Formats: sequence, C-alpha cells, structure tokens
Amino acid sequence: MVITLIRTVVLYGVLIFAVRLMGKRQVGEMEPAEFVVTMLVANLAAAPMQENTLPLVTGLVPICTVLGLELILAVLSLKSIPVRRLLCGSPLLLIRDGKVDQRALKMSRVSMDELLQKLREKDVFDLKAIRHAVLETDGELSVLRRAEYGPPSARAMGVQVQQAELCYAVISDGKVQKKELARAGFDELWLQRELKALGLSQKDVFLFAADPRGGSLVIKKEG
Amino acid sequence: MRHFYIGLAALVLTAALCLLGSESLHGRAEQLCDNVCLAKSEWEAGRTQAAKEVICRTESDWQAQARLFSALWNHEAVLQISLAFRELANSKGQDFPALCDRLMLELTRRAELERPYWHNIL
Repeated sequence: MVITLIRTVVLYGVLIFAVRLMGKRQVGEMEPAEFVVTMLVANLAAAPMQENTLPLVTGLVPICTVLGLELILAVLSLKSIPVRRLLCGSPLLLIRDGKVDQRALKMSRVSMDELLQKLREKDVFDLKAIRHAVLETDGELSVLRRAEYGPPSARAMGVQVQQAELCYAVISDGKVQKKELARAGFDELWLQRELKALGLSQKDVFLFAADPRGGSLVIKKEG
Repeated sequence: MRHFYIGLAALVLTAALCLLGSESLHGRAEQLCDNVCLAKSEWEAGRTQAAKEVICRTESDWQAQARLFSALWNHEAVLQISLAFRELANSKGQDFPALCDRLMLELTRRAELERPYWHNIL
C-alpha cells in the first residue's frame, strides 16, 4: 500500500504539472482536442496508480507523449489557420439576420429543440429577439440580440459614465501582495496610511481590494 | 514558441529514453539468452556440472539486473523469469534442455515486445 501511496503522489505531481502546462481553460471552454487530452491523461495515470505490477513508466511515458503532442499542436494551431480549422473546426452561423439557417443546423447536427434549449440557457425565449447566433467550436452558442430587444447602453442614452477599473487584491488573508499593490499603482506607505485611517492592522484584514482611483473594499477577518 | 519547444523537448526526450531503455534491456536479455544457450550446449555435450555452473552464474547476473528489468517490464513477467531460473538451477533430470528452451523463449519474447516493430505497435 505504501507503493500505491508513493506512486499516487508522483503521478499526481506529474498530472498537475501537465495540466498547468496545458493552459488555463475550464472543462466547459475546452476545444474537443483539449478535452480528449484531459480525459486521456487522467485515465493514463489511473492504471499504474492502482496496479502495482505495472511499471510506473507505463503511466509516465504516455502522459509525457500526450503532453508533448498537445503543446506542439496547440502552438501550431495558434500559428496556422488551416491547422486550427483541422483541429478545432470553424464557428457556424446558425441564425443569420433573424432567420434560422437549416442547412447549418443539419451540418452541425443540432436539432431545432437543442437550438431552442441553448437559447433559453442564454435567457432568450423569443426567436424574434435574435439577430445572429453562432455555434462556437467548443459547442457554446453565442447570441447577438436585436438592438430593440436589448437593454439600452449608456452610450445609446447619451449618458456620460465613469469607466470601471480593475480591482487588485493588495492584502489577501493578512499578507500584503506586493505585485498587486504595484499593479494598482500604490506603495506600502499608502497602504499603511489607509489601514491606519480605518483603524486596522494588516493582520486583521481578510481582503483589501483597491482600484487605481483609490477606491477600496475591505473585509475584516472573522474570529 | 516557448511551449512548442517544451513540447518538442518532452517528445524527443521521452522517445530517446524509451529507445535507450528498450535497446539496453534487449541487449541484456540477449546476453542472458546466450549464457542459457551455452548451458544447454554443455548439458547436451554431457558436461552437466559445467552447465549447472553456467546457469548459476547467469541466474546471479539476472538477480543483479532484475530491478532494472522491473522498472520497465511488467513485474509479473520478471517474477516468472526469476522462477524459471530457479527451476533450471534445481533441475536434475532430462527436462534441463526443455527448461532452457522455455527460459530463452520467455526472455526473447519479453525483450522483443518492447521493440518498435510494426507487429508490436499493431
């Protein structure tokens, strides 16, 4: 059993490294090839984890091979449009100018029921509200509503609004995040002044989020 | 492009290590086979004591390398070969040549399974 434990730790480390190298996408956003690779790598690790008579290399060699191939193909599909089309396919316009493209539906093997379901999942219950709908390569449906059916934007109403800024977590769980602080455009002196004004010390803070305009959100630690 | 080179390096390194391991074990298995064949020849020539000595030496060689073989071959297969050596070393009767043949076949078969031939790939 100790062998199983050690192998599990080793293979877990290798899997984490492999997934980290493969990039930052969630399961629902992966291209088909990426999804296959993720499932494959997990299954490849399982056999030597459970079966001690199999050498560890029977898991490591396929994982390294699949990882290498995935990285090469990912870069090639980034650099070459034909390779990208081959591996990922192309997005398909299912609704064009309000009209359902039945040929595109047939090509993508999506039934009308499925299309309506995907639209409902996007909070669209009336086909008349849609101008265009695109079936993306990862299976998601992107929808462009008709202007008259969407919420008015500030620009359409001629209203001047302030641009939103990114918020940076400058203190997280009592620890100062120096890189985030620098990205927000402040230094530790500013941070100490803000904390003093709030009557708090760094250790009391669970989260201190600041934006470049000086706006902040502070959550104190509980307990 | 950095990821491309990492991927390429991972592929090339893995392939190189696999080929190296496979060739190394094939060479060692061949050497063991040659010694077992020599033992069989000695036995058939009536020099049973010499045959036994060759087998004992070969078994020691095998034991010294068994861990390396275990790293790349199925552990059950390595155990079977160890048992076959033991059986051969303890053999007293006329089954010695047959046991030698069986052991050589097992060693050769296992070593050949790791080589990149089309029939192994398929």
